[in-house]
Amino acid sequence: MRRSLIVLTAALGLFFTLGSSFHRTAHAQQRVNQRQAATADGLLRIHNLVGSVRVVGWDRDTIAVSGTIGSGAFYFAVGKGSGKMGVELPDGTAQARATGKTEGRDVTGSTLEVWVPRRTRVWVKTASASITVDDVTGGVDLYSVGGSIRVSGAPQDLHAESMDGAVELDVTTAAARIRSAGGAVTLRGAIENAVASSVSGSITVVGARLQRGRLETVTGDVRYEGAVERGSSLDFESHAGTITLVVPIDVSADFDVTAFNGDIRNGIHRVLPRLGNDLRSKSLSFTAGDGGAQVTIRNFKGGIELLGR
Amino acid sequence: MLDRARAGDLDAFEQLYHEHVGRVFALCLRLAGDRQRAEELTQDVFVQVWQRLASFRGESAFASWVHRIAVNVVLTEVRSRRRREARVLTVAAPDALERAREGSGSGPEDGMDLEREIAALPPGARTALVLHDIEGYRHDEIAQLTGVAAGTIRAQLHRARQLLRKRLER
Amino acid sequence: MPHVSDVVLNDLHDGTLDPGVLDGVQRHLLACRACRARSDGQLDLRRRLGGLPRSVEPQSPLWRGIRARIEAERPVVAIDQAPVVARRPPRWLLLAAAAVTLVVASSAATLLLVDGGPGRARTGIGAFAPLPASADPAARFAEAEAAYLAAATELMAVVERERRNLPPDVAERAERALALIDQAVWETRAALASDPHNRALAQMALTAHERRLEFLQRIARWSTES
Repeated sequence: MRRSLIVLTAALGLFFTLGSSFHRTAHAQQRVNQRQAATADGLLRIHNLVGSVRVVGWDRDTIAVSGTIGSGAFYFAVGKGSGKMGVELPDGTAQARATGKTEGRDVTGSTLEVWVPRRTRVWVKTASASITVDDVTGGVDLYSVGGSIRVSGAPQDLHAESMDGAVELDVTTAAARIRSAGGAVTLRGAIENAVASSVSGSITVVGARLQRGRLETVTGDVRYEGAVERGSSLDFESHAGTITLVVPIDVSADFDVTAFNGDIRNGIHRVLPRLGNDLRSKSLSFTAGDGGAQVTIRNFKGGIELLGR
Repeated sequence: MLDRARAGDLDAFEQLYHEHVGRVFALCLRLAGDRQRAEELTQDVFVQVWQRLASFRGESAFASWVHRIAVNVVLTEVRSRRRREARVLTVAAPDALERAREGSGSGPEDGMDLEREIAALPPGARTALVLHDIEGYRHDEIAQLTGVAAGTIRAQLHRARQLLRKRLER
Repeated sequence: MPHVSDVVLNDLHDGTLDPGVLDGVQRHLLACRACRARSDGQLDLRRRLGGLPRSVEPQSPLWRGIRARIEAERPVVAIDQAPVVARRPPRWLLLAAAAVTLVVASSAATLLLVDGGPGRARTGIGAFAPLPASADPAARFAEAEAAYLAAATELMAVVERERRNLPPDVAERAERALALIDQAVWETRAALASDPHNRALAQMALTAHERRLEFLQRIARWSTES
């Protein structure tokens, strides 16, 4: 942990110096309520391994934090153009970040609610703590091992990564990249370029407008429900999950669909899947309506369903 | 590759040709029912693709765009050919085209019953069947492409399937 | 209800049957063996038609004739000023570039191990460059796979060395996920072995390798940042 903090600080070192107000709190379940002036489009890094973090963008040039500090020491520093905030667990408890237990001692989580200038770039890292970000228009980078991640608003770009926590986005953004292993991923809103991958977690897109999308899982199901934007390009790929598209019956798109071992059910066009030379794989290629968008679907052994609504 | 071809690079266009020729030739072969004509039509298609490359704006997949050009080229040729042959064969002998086609011999893949029987279908029925059951076009789309009423397309499709089933059961 | 005509059966299978008679036809088919047999016959024909190869290579070389005609008619092509929608190139075309990608990916992974901050490289994976299309796809796949495996081995060493930094339950969950990814790699690889020129399959196999590498990067990052 210390090494990574040193690295992070070094990476930013030339661009800011730490402010003089550096607060530490080391008492269990202590309330915190602090604020500091900040630039409108600076960077804020937040570490809170256990508990929860909520970040809200507002129209003031101030970073404010309130909440409850459990185990560990709270720190909050704002420098020129960037700041950092978080809770550092006592020595010897770092190993217990995700489980919340260490050497027989409980680790009490900390709850942080943070208001930042709307255009701030927000970077949050947690272990089991959940992360919520609302109304931030700067970039957003979120990392959690087991905590859930929820984002709403219009961040400039978004990167969310969790191993087992659910990731739920309802955003308007130019680019979103989401990685999960076991957690479910849900996307809503309008995303120009979306890349979402998961291992066993499902990926669900509901009513979102994607201009470019690549959604892939290993065993998790993929479900896309909504319109296919004109000129868009959507790629779906899974190894063993079911891929389901529910699109308007009058959709205009070029479809290129391959299932190597699973079945293809085509409910939006009358063309039938054709059997591959291996007599096992099935593929389907057709233009629905006037075309104009590209939909590519590949599945190794899961099924593919194309449904009209 | 596409950008290079659009800029006039024939080597790049050759690679596009190799990528797409299989699908284009399959379509020409099934619609024309004759290998030699299919080869001529395939050449026509790629010459037209080259000529129209500048108008491809990337709003649909390149493969789909090429496919539509191929359908148009073949149907245009089939229509004009039918007009030419009709002048020779006379309207009183409508089945002559079918017999002439059957007599023309080689189907798409010798030994493959289904392909051979498709090639032997009357032209209108074959067009409806290939475009609907193999290429996945809808009745109204085929009607638009061929200039034939949708109801007629349905009837031709029905006839094609009946003929195929009878011939395959023989 | 009288027997269902072939025309009606065709409409039924085409999805164009009048909804007013649909129920009656379907009920009749359930009860009438003869009509069901004709319906099955029609479906069987459609399956056979749908199973026909989409692509048939011409026996004669046609390119020379096409080129001659184009050259005779030149100049015809103007460079279009209209913007072309950028599409992700098919990955099978870019397999050989995966070797280059792996260097980038591996470098990115190394970067990630020392730099976990917001300014770090997001990923090197996927930064493909166009390739000469003349190389043999199977050879390109083998080359790309070897590069993926080498990079993965490097990351595995980091993960093994640093895994004590991961809480046991996190390590366990990571291993479970990795096992699923490994299974996907193994299965696509096995399928490709029996159909080595299947480009779509090669693409899927590489995607599986790519996922594995990405996931190892993540575990390595978690381990080293703990």
